[in-house]
Amino acid sequence: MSALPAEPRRAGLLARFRQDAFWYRQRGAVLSFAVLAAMLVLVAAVVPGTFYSATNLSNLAGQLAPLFLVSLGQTFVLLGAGFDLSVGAVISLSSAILTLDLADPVKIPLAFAAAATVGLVNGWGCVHLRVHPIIMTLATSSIVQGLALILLPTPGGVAPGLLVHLASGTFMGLPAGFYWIVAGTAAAIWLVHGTTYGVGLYATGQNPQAAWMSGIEAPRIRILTYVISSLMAALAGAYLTGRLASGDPNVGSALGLDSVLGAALGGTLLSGGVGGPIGTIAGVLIIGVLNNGLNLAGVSPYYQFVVKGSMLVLAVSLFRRKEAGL
Amino acid sequence: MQRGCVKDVMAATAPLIEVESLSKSFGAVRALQDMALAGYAGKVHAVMGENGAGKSTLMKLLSGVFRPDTGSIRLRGAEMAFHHPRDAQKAGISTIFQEFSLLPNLSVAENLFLGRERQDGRRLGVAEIRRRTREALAALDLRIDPDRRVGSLSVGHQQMVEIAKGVLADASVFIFDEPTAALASHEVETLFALIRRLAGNGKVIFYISHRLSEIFAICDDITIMKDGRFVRTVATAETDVDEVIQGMVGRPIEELFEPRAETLGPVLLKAESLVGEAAPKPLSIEIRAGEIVGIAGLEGQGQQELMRLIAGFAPARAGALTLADRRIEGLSARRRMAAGIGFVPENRKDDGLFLSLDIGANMATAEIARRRLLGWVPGMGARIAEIMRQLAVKAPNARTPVVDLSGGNQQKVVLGRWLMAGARVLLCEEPTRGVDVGAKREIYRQLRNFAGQGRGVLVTSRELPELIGLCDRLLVIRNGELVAETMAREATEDDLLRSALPAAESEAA
Repeated sequence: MSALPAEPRRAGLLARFRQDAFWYRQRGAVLSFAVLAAMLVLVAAVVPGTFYSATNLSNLAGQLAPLFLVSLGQTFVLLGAGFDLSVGAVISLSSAILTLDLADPVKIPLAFAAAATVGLVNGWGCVHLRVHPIIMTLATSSIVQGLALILLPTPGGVAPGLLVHLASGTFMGLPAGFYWIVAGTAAAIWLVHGTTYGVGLYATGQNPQAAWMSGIEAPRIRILTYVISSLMAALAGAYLTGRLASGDPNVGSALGLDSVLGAALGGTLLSGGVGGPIGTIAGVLIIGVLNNGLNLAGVSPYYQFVVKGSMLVLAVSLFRRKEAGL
Repeated sequence: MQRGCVKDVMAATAPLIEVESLSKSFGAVRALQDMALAGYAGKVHAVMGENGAGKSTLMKLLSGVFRPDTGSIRLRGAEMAFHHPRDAQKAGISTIFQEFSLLPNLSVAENLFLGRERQDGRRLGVAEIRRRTREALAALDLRIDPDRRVGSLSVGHQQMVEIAKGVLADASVFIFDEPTAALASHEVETLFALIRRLAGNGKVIFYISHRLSEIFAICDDITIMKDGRFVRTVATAETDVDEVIQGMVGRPIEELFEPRAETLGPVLLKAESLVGEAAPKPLSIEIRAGEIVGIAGLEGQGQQELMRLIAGFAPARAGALTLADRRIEGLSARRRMAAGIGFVPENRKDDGLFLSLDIGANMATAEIARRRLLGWVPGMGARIAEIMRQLAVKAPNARTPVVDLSGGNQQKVVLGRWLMAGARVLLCEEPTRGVDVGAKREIYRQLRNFAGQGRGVLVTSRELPELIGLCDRLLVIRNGELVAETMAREATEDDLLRSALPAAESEAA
């Protein structure tokens, strides 16, 4: 009985991204961090003093926290080969619920329970009713946005004191938003890279049938991605409500598509199974630095939409699945 | 393991696993009817039957992928009801699936422990998983980095990882579904040693394979299935190859096929050193009028690339392609079709048919494509009816949606399309895939008729007996090269396999 020849060992750094499973799934993140670094150097050259001022960076953290949270949530859905367009509406709904005329211990859990329900409905529709994720979440998005407007027709209401406290000011010299970002990111990274749920998620996103045959509860995993995404959206809504100290039924509308942008720019494939929250950090920071840099350089915000859209096309074509896989 | 082993030996007189009157239907198709099977500890038990005989359905019922309609599965006397593959795994049934169930984006270690991470409710550490992966791989003489991404491994090594994954489970029943299809001969030896070791430890092994030599080399008992039913179980020592084949086919194999061509016409299609992007090695083929030529080979050796290069879906880079004295290598796929090349793709439902359209529309597409936009085709309806009658398509009329037809009738519709378009050479990938035995015979007859009208057919198939019975001449493809040629009447499965298998030392990649 002769021993088989060993598989050729990896040679060189590039081969590592092809052969090593972890690095293969994170290859987009590496590129995104490189782009981010280049941008940070660029803004240092164009708007040196203003960008790296403490005030600006602190503002940036405050502005980016909601996008961080929803993009991280969206990353889960994309990893599971899904798509969640409803996160913007969920943010708005949670803002509306959090400013209802109810006691804080009632409305805070209520906002998260409502978000979890939306996630369950999304997941159930996509997985069990086999509705296409875009259609399913577009539909729930419309319903949820409607509910938000019914509960809170115009901006206003009183935010829970706890959230106002948690979402504003500084702690140990760092802005509150920074802690929300760190907490959300740490939770997402732990779920994806530190639990069996994460391995199951990569497996399910690649091939739900093969995952199922390997004993993975693929349907449950996919439904959970939508629940996580909705809960992250509710968290973003809670942050925004606290920061504004009042509710706004349209506060999330811009964040829905931006969450996809943040995840996609971070190297998470829309076809599932490749990418992850580490890359999303870079993806969101790229959007943030870009917006902020263009603002500081005095470029009209309308151009930012054009730039963001172009970047999405660029990222998706750059990070497309290179191999058909197995 | 030690304790389980003793228990297994003590129970050796009663079957460890027993299947009784198991049935499963998919829609109107009865995939399995009243199946019986008994596995004894320490025995390697072959399950044989033609493609579509129900072997895979049976194994998927045993492994919890499907749920039976009726009947029972008993393990150590206890009735089992599997709702999920994991239920079967927990009960001690481990399956090495024929289609890879590996995830290409995960590492070897992640794949091996997928769905099995939780033992005693605790999560295994990364170091523990790596260590146990190395052990499982070592048992198969494999030296692969546990962190290596599965999608970057060679097909042979992926299959070995698949086997390692199945063996890793502390199971009492192991199901091997065509495990050697992608393996080189020395890998097969390693696998056999492993199977003998498992049997020696009192495990039940179900072994599914088309390769008779393997069955007779390693199995103690053989259960034969046909058309979803149990035929018989025999001890390997008390039977021979002819008897097994007879049981599988239900009749001597010759009766399935039409007589071969007696005389051949001039060369119809000639490829000379044809090279394409996906087929970098020059390919030369001749097909004569009246001839059916078969391409044999292991899976993924370039059959598809060859067919698609001739059909014109991939541009030729060099070489010449001649159809009845007309050079066509520079033509697009559409113009080659107009010139007389018909293509029947392997994946009928995705590439070959418009399922929601009716029979008439599906048959007319190639003819319509041959004509100018908005071209008027007189008498189309009558011709469709004529071809349906000729091919004996079982449907009330031409307006029946194709989605309602059986696999065999769908295949006839694809054939009808090219009859209608007047194709002179038909390229046919896997003509009888997913088709029952009766329809197979009909398709063989139609292909022979087609060739008999002075046309040519080029066929690829995974099933060697089909190629030998159907074709006049066979070519063997290996790693993108045509490596052997033989007249079908002189061909044997063993010889074809030997040419098709990679030489032992060339498998390093």
